[in-house]
Amino acid sequence: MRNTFQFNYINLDYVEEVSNGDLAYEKDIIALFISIIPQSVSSLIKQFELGSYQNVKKILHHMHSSTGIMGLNDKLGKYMDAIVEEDLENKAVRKNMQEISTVCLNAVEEAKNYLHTLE
Amino acid sequence: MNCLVVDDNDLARLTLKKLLSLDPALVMVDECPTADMAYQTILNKEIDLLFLDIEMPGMNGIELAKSLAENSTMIVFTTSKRDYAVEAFDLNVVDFIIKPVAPARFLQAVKKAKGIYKLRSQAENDKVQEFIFIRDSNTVKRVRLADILFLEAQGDYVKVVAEGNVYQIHSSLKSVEDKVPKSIFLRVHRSFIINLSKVDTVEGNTLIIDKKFVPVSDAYKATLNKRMRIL
Repeated sequence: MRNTFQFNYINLDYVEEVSNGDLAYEKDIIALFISIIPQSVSSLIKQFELGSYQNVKKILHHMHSSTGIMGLNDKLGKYMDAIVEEDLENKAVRKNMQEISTVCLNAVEEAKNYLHTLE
Repeated sequence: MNCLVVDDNDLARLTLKKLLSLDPALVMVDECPTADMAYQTILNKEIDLLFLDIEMPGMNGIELAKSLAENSTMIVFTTSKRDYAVEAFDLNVVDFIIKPVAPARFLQAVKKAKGIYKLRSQAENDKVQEFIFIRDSNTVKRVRLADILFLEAQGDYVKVVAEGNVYQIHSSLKSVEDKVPKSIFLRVHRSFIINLSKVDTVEGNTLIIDKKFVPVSDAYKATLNKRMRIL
């Protein structure tokens, strides 16, 4: 089933390299991703609305490890890095945040669907 | 080696835990989501190798590494940011890996750590070992390494020639060689290991220790000359 599943967001190459066939590890990683990311996205939006860019950067850094493991950094890297490293205007930050949020939440949905196929 | 994984990200900790299982010599003693918790763990448990994230809430990884400067715990930094590399290496850490940590890169860092660990263990062993115990008939005797002149293979036995005493051990010379400090003892022949500090004279392929003649093989001569640091 895993070979026929069509991924549009997540890329499990890294997870499969580490798992070396250990399905339990793969399931655990995916389940953690599903449980952590929606909370991180909502904290990110909240901190942005509060104007706390320092906290936004901290949350993005924390998310970076998770998104990297799930092979999302090709899609998210430029948006995340721009917020963390560049001095963007509020409007640009908002736009990048929306991209990050959309990709992350779609990736979580995809991860949920994929996890069902493993059970 | 006892290992501790420190990372505030659950996925990163789980992944490192999985990577640790690649090498049976690595034992994961604990995992900590903060540097503060890690510091307490290191104080209470014997940790040889630390896999340490840098940006974490509270104390960060660099601060933890600085606070462990006097500690022998080896550190491998695992971080998403390359920016810390220079500062990290200034702290004399074993390695610095960018996340996500590739298995091959992880094993490369572990290899470096194991090399350091082995050297330290050897140095520690040499430092504390001042004597060996020898089984002589039905008794076990303590013999000061400094009193041993040389060891000679004799069939299934090894003759230990010490100042004022000779002992016989039922063992191979190779087995004894592995148990005595290499900083003190040196093999000079397939049947002889000498205490380098006891050598009185070397003449051609023979050396004299306490008026006793010991042969030196051509194969070991270069090493002997090097170790003697002849002026």
